[in-house]
Amino acid sequence: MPTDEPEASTGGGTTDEASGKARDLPLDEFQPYGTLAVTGAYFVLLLVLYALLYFVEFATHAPHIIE
Amino acid sequence: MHVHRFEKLWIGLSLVLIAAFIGIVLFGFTVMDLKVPGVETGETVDPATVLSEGPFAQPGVRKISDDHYEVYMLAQQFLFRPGSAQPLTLPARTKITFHMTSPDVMHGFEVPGSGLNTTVIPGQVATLTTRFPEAKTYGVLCHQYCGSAHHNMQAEIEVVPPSEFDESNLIAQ
Repeated sequence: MPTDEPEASTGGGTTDEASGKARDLPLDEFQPYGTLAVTGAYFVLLLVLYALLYFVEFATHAPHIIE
Repeated sequence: MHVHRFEKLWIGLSLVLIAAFIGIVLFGFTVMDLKVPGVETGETVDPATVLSEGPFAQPGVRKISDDHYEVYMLAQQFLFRPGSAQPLTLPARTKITFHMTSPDVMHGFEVPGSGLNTTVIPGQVATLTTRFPEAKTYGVLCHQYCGSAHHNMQAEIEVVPPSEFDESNLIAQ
């Protein structure tokens, strides 16, 4: 994503790296593995808790309705 | 539109999650053969006369066969009849059908820690059939707010071995 830095266009003579400007990163090179890990862990937790709730708390506690 | 591959991944996982929720419920109601409480279809009762007419005028346990009993139970402000004044005694490992209705407001019937749970609606008869697997005492709670003493509305079901079940308190058919 291009940023608009007024200082760069005024001809200060410095490069982007030297002025500390964040480098442009194409979308496909952005690899948020941390976010993926957190989302994945939450996803697994959700499935495990849902299965626990359904199969243990709801479906197998006897007595239950048979007809 | 360009979508990042991570985005594609968790859009896909979200769809898998929705499919899993639906799949688990379908699995329960087909393979595991789960049941939900029913309503006696087409059969309504008049809440104004339910205490004086029909089977609910004499709530209690009736015998259908050696392996099947039925309970006509009233849920009313703020007790279950039978069950609250003295425990409802039922045989273990025997098929029990509950028929429940209310003469006043909406109540709930729940045996905590079990799958027995229904709403009891005036004018309708809620039914459910179960087998109590072991001889022990089960509690019953009202889980629909029904008035100022709702928190005191509870009952007990005392499940005894079939050989010890006293049939002298049954209601004649």
